[in-house]
Amino acid sequence: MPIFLCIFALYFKKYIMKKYLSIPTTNNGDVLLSIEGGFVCFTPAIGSGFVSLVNPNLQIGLSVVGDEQEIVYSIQDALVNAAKTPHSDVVSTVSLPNRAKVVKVLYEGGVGPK
Amino acid sequence: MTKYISIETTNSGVLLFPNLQFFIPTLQSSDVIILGAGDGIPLSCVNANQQLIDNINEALVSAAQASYTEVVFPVTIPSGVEVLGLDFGGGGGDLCGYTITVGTNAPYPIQFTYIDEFGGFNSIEILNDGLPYGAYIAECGTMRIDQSATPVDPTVVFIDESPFELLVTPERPNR
Repeated sequence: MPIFLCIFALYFKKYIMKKYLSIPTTNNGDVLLSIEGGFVCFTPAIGSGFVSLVNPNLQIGLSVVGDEQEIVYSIQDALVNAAKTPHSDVVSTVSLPNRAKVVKVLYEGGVGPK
Repeated sequence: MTKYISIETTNSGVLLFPNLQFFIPTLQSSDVIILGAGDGIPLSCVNANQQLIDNINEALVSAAQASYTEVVFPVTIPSGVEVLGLDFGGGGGDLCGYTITVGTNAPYPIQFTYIDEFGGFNSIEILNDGLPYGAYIAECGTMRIDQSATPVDPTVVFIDESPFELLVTPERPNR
């Protein structure tokens, strides 16, 4: 019986543990974002100064300086790393490209894309 | 466990989509496919067909079958099909964007209310820190600046002249 409990505990820990994305920003410090379920990251257009992260539950807008598409790719890399790493690696930090900055979180909405 | 399918697009680079619980790709028309349950996330396409949907489903199945260290699964785009990118049209209208900067000598931050790329209302605070802030909105209207409370400081600069409904009200003194 204790063996079954142990296996269940390991299974539970592996699949239920939360992971976080850490996004360094100029105005909001390091923003820690729970990424359970994953996000779609995109920019509406190059030159917009805007990057968005969305899933069915949450929509987050980031004000950015620099090449938006490169910033999107750096966030995507961190999301993929978070999915690849063991459950004990809880925080995946976004490594922004040179001269790129995330200025701040513009908004967090409780509703995803319609 | 979170895995991603990747779709190469013409206008939005390579997009990664998480394999969410109710990820159901559907063909809405030859111009648009929907990823996700309900309204989902629309992708603009050229000549989209069922083969594209089948390929997305195939990538989802591969993702589910693979070990947890394999995370990204590319979707094969069928010949003759082009995926343009995320569809922000909100009914087919043009997307209006803006960049707004409030100078450091402005007395107030401003609160900016707009219709976002998904058709919902959003409100953001633009600090008077001289940095550019941007957002995109889906429905273009007539630009309007509400100066009823206090005149908007002349150091507020609107860089994009796209016509849209804009409500700007000074908020509170700089902190």
